[in-house]
Amino acid sequence: MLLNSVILVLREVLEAAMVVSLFMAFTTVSQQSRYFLLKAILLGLVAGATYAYFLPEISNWLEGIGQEITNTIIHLGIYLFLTGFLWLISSNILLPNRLVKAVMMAAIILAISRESAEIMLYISGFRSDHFLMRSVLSGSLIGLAIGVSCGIFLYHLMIALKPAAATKFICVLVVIVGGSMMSQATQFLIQADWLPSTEPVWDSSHIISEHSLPGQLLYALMAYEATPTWSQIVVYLTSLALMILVIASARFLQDQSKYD
Amino acid sequence: MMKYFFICMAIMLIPLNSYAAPPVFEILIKDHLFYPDELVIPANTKVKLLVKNQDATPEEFESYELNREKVIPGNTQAIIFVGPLPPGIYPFFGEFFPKTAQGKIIVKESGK
Amino acid sequence: MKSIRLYLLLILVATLILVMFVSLLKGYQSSIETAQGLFDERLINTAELIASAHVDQTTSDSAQRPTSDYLFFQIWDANGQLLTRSDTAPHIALSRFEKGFYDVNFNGFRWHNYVYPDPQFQRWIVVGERSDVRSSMAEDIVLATIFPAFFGIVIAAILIWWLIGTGLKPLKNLSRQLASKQADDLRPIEMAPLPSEMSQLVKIINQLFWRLDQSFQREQRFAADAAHELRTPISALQIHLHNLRQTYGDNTEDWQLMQAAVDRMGHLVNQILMLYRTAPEQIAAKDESIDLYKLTSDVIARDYQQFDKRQQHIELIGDSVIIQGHMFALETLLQNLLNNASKYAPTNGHIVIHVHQTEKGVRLTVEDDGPGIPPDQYERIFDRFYRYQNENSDLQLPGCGLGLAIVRHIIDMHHADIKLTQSTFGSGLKVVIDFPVAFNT
Repeated sequence: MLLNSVILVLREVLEAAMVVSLFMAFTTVSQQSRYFLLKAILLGLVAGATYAYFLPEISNWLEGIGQEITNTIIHLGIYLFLTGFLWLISSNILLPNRLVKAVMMAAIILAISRESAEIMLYISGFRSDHFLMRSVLSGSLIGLAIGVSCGIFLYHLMIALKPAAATKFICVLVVIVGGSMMSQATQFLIQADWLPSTEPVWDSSHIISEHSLPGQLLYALMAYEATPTWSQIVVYLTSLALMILVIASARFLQDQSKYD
Repeated sequence: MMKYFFICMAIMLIPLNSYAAPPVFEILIKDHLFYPDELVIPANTKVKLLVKNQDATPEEFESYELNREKVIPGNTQAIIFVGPLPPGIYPFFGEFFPKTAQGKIIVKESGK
Repeated sequence: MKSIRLYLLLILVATLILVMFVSLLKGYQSSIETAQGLFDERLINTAELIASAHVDQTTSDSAQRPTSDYLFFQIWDANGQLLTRSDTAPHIALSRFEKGFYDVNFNGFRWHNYVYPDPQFQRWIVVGERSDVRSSMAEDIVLATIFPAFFGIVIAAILIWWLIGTGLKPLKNLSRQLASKQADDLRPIEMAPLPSEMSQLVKIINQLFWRLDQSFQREQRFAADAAHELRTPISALQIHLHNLRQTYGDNTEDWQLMQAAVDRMGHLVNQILMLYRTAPEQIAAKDESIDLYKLTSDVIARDYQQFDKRQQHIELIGDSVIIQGHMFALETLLQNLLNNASKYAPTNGHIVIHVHQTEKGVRLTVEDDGPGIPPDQYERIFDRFYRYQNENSDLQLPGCGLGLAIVRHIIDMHHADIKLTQSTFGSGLKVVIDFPVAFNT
């Protein structure tokens, strides 16, 4: 039970911690206030509790695939906000900027609401079982601690870099997270039967199993899938390419306006 | 750019294989156990799993081999589409109670 | 970065958590596997034990063989007929008959079963154990080793917090020393055990202080030397002016204006010298017991002519009080305060001086009924060469703006406190000076 709770919570926390520490590092590097991030985290937790509370109703929407579609929308939303974030910071606007802040807040709220809803549902399932609750709570605590520690490391790694390098690094990680979001969104659409399910393109479970700790970590970081389908690969690569294109075109437009 | 992306997404969202209603298989969750814990489904066919959670606690139907994960709140039921799949054994488990909630889907050629 | 201490704590505790828990989890995983292996072995042993203990080959339906809630057994013959079972066991076969382990659902629980072919009687022995009990037993064993780690992390965090604090003490010490330094205190910082990382920093700071001190001293010495050197030509000027007036008569206004200008120049030079002499670093702390009341009345008596000339009423109220101080400096202080009061009080005006003992020390107040100073000017008038000009009055008073700067020097020297308020006369200034320690006679 304990190891389970650790893995389950860690998987969820790691994803949210990554988004939060990315933005945290960005605000530090660009010398903005960080207070609004805390607000976004709290709002995200509230949103997560609401999502968890209404999950039975949400699941019944659209003939039983409401959950998949909601998750898809959340992941798609995070992806779009991340893309917007990349566009804004690549076009060299003056910071602090309210739009950048809003985009960061929205991405954090969405990421945390999705991840925390699952943890809340999970822990709430053990309300009546005090014996298991002990294992579950300590496991969740360990998972949370490991996830947050990873976030702290990532944060300090990024702010240790020179500002220009840090911003580049942040962009790269945002692209990776964005790709992961779209891959998961695709997964949910396949599950909801809105996208056709095809045979897996490859099976790398003998190299890195999704059951193993490295597999779980990779899943959290970049939605690692041992048996991905064509649609997932296509969407994943397309969304990565799109984000890179957004960065490039924002920079290009910036350069153009500079020479005009 | 964004507009183009949305159009792409919209096209991709159109269900491509909604010709026939897929066969429905029922899985029950009770006392954190799956009934049946071995479900046989035909190969190369899309099936619709109707997972009924009769416990008061939520459960998450999860399978790495099937690439499926879905939270099923207590006393509700959920639909999960699976397949078409090649023959084989696909374990699944309840992520919230993985020690007891275990099962596998056995995909067999329909001829056999 | 807000705090080195917080940063170190965060990063160290994060490292600790990652390293410790990841290794603990790895250990947990293998411990659980070992425990499961042991339980499996026990299940095999149980099956073999039953095989050797139960040799009855007839069918005994009624299960009078109680076992615990989480264990059961069945014995089947080769034809798939149930020979006997424990009372918790089902009547049906839960898995196929083939040697090995099987996980099945039955009676609302998940069971881990072992199917054992008994070669002696050609029968099957099935032993089952509840999975949840198995795993919770295994987990209990492993959790007992993990729980201390929680407290370990908390204790480690507290220790780290404290140790970092100790490690950063020299730095804190340095910043405290710098913060508590007076603005004019340019002595080098002294710290006994200096960590090697900080010795360079302290060395540079001390060099900086030394250079600053040198340049301050040069500046002050220059002003004082200049003033001193100017005294002689000014005295000569005064004498020559006097002689010229004697020779040519002094009935013209020009002579009077010139006399006033030369007098003012002499006063200015004297005040500059006084300012320098009363600077805290110039006067060695040569404390003596002084009766402030007596000193005040002496100063009034000496300058009485000045008040008398303008028919001002001067009043000294109080008792004899002793303070520790510098005689010459206090004399200068009183002179300056009384001069100011007299200067600003009108002809026929009033000046009241109080000297009395208070709870904390000795209080000296000087009040006049002149025009006073608006409160927003209270701080500025202590600045060197600053003179408050009342826009409504065309009164042009002599003075160079150094008097109160000198007063401030003397106040600082005695660790006293000076406050300016409205005089009780309705108009005019009240100067309140509190000397900290006093000895009653």
